[in-house]
Amino acid sequence: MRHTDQTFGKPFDRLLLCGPQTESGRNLRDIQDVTPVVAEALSLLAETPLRETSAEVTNNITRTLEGLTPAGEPTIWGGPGFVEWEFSGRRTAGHFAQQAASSLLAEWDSEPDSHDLQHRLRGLAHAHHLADVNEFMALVQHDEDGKPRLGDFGTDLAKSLQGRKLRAKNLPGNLRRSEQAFEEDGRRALTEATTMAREAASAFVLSIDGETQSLIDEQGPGAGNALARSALEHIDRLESTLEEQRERLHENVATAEPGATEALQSLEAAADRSRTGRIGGLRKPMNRYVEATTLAFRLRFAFNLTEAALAALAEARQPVQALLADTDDLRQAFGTVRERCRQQMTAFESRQLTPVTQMTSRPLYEVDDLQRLYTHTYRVDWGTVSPQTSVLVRHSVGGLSRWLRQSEGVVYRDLLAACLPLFTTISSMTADDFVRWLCRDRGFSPALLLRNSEALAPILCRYDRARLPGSGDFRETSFQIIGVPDRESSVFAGTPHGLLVSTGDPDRIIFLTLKFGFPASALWHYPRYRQAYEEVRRQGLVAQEIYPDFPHHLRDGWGVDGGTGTRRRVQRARGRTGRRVRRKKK
Amino acid sequence: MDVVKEEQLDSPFAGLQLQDASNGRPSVEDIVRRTLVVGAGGSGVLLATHMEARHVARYGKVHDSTRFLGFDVVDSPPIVTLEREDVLEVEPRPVTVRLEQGTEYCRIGKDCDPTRLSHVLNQNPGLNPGLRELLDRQPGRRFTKSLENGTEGERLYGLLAFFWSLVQVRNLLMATLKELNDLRLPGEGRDSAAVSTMSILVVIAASLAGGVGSAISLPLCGEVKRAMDRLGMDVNQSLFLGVFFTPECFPETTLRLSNTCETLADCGVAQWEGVIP
Repeated sequence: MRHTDQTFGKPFDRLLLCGPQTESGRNLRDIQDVTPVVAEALSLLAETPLRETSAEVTNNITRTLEGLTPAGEPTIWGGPGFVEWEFSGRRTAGHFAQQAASSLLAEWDSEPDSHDLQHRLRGLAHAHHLADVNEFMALVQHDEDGKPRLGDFGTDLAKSLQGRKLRAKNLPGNLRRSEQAFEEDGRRALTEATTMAREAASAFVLSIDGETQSLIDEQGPGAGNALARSALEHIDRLESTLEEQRERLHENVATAEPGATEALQSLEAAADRSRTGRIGGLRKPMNRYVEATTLAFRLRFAFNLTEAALAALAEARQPVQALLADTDDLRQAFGTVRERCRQQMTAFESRQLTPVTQMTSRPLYEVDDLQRLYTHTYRVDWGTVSPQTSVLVRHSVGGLSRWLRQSEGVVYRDLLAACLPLFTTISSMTADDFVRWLCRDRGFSPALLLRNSEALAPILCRYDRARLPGSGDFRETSFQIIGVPDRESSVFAGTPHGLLVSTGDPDRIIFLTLKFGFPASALWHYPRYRQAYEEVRRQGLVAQEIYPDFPHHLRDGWGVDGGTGTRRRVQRARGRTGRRVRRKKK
Repeated sequence: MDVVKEEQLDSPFAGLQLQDASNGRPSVEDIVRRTLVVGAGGSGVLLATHMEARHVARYGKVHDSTRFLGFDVVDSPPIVTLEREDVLEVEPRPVTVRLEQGTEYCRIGKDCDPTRLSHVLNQNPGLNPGLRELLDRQPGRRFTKSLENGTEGERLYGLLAFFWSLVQVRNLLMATLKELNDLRLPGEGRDSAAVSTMSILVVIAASLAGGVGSAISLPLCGEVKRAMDRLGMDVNQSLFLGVFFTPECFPETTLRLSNTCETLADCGVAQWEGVIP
């Protein structure tokens, strides 16, 4: 047979009752609301130095309080109540960092000075001979010594014919050879000019890229974006002018080349007709030919140069367009990150307290307290940052242009990482430090907070004072533990409101109340429990007194209505008050 | 601990080596004490899970010195989700916890059919004698309900399920307490005598009103003490904390109120007389 076990004495050292109705009449909804509150309170009792302190205190209290009511009922029950005041220096520093990041992003993305921008652009374009089309074409048409790349056909022809005893019949062949030689020189000159045009355009792009990055570093992506956009517009204008020029040249070439052919044919015909066979008589058609052919060569060369310049600009357009897209993306990333910071700040500031979190954790501050703390500590208004801060963060980030072609996540992470160290004063603040500052700032005493805590930490159990043992003065049976980061340096040192314990947790001030020594019958609804018990017993459908060999009969003498025949048990029990049954160690 | 799902949000501080990231906050090593949290019945298991989730949310992990157990008649223990309080909680991350089957949670009364208990006991005379006692006290020496729908608020059936699974309950308690006893915390020597005197906090949580926790919390407390005693742990140096939820936590029924009255009385008797059922 199974027997009850008396080996270890009473099963529990403390018994706590927890319900949704608090001592102060506040209500939680159900077990889902009550459980997290109790979990918090028990965890505090289990984990922190509160454990040792509460164990020591409750040992003494429960020994003296676990007596019997006049009706013979044990006063074994207790209840927990607590409130946790929270101020996280690190969270607040994070909040400040979000605010600084948001302000800096707004500052960095502001519109640039357009006059300065145009001045910079003109300087760069001029440095690379791209200020206008004439400058660009002048660059490509001349070599390093400033001489025209394309010579003069007439001069070359004259040189090639000089010293020769030309007969009229040999003239056409000599002219063709001279034309071919000149064309060959023209192709070489065009190749050199094309290279020059590409190099100039490429150098311009590099300068734009470098200047854009410098501007982003100095002023922000707004300025860089504006420069890239202006550079692209400048290239557009150059291209547009060159295209018009090409059209004109095309038309001129179309006219000049047939003219040159016609002049050549006239010269050849004149040479055929020459009776003397000497070319001296061909001066007039010869001059017309040289003039027309020179013009045709020049126009064709100019046309080809224009095409080469256009090709060079087309090549330059692509990286500038990419640069513009990158700066657009960076601006967009700034906007997104700023929005994210704002959302985080709003979430932090409007942290909604549910009925459950109200029972467990309360912030030590209002939003405007934090804003005053910011202003007080950093000497600038909330929502702004000092110029020094801006420079520090920019320096810490290592130049804003390094975020070009980076994701917004990288921007967010880097920026917050750069901003956070600015607020080390805040992040190292404990909840105790904050209370000290708050009291100074608002001019109230820390004792006020503790008095509020007392009201905010009712035990999670409602009882009827009229049914309490003795005078009903329940006050002596409760005690408070105030958990602070460090009791030696705490603003609450020496408080008469409770026992001060160092928890080492910088973010919380804990106010824990434990009350002991009330009988079950003092519970607010106890008469209804009793009534239901009697009803179930009358119906006889559900088994009661379930434990085999357990002294269930003792129940009969307990209850709101007292009972008879309990005196002997009461006296016997009172004689055992405070006695703990301990098993001797083997 | 069975971490069911952890949402991986992109933390802005992931991977950063921030100066003094802990900021003097106590690590789990600073606050560890040998603690056993035992949840009996639905509410008790819920509380144990909440405490474990809170532990993970606050300290990032559960230290070996803190153990959470649950005993109930349902197959699947509840899931609790809390916000993780990480290094920098600008973006709190949720942590979801459920007691792990077998190592943290024991489903009691599994495969027990009370209506056939008489037959089963005749076939298996070696079963827990407590079952026979419960059966003998029934009118007609037979139970009329099954455990398919749980205990339906009847404490007797909760106790029956407990007795049915007592071997598993004892094994789980023994294994857990042995691990706690074998654990060496920072600052503790290797001297076994010194270790044996070190205290352990045992929290046993249940509701007063239900059919399981209210019935098994007292016997469960006895089992914990017996297991500790068998392991050579000093029961008297340990602190046993009973936590009971009042019936106002649940929709009101006559049976719940009656159970509450009875559980309050049983606890009173047990505490005052120094007996454990």
